[in-house]
Amino acid sequence: MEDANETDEDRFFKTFKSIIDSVVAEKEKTSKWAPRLKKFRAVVQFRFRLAENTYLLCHLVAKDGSFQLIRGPIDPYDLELGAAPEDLYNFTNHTYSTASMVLKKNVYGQRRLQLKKAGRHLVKLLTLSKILSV
Amino acid sequence: MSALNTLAGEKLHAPFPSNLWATTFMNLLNTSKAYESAAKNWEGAMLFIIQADGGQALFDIGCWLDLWHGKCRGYKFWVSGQERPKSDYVLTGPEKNWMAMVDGKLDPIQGLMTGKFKLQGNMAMVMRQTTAAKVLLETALNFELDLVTPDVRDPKAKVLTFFDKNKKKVMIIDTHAHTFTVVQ
Repeated sequence: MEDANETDEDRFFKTFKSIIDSVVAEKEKTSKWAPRLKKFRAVVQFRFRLAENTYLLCHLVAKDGSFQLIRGPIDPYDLELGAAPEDLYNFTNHTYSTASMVLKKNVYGQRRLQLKKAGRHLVKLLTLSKILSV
Repeated sequence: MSALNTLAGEKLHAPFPSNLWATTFMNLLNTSKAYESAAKNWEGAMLFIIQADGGQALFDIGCWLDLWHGKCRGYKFWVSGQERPKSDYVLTGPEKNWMAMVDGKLDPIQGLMTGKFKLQGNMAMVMRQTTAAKVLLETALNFELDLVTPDVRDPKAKVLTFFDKNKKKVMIIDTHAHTFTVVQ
């Protein structure tokens, strides 16, 4: 049996992990992306707002071509991305532009994409957004 | 198709799981211009799993659809304990969330992105084919989710016979041999 006690957060984390694994695996097969993925080093914290009062924190550790998504917070991190999951989904499949993510508000009245330390790690942010893009 | 309510604007009624449900679903999908166009590049079978969560379903029940370039080429049913059919995608959620989706209270993509459902497989492909995934799931919204119920509520019983709302035999599960037969 599937685990009937799985929470919304458990299911979302597994779906997001599946997204990261499949976009990375797809890009690894291309000669353009394979060396860039190997070179990319970053610790990125994601702060997902799943509901009014429900957040899920997880972090991606990218090092030597390995991309590990781990549940829970991390400190220190290079940058933090905060978003409602559906907004990030719409960003990665090009429904929302970067401008709309940065300037427009989400259903909770916050900016669709909230960033921390992005100024210091702009190159990492831009590379990550390209990696996640499908 | 006598068990189906086909009046315009009303939901279709077919027991789930049943051959009637699956053939009707396949027919809706295979005659949908919207699905044909949205899923023209889709390749890969999908297993939908309704997780037993204390509602009507005693076991996890799944429906496997062979989806290929805008058409559904076949189906299978699955219950927990059996070997899963080879699937490129597995969409799982508790019964209450499926009920909310077919009642129109939960948008399929939002449901996925808020953890009401879990999708595993090549997500890069799904994200490129969001419209196809949405149309596929929205086709299921044409139905009421009429889950079949067993004659006894003891999941450890060797043989369980499942009936529809009209007390017609729909499915028999041998829980020891992990086999099942869809009658209707």
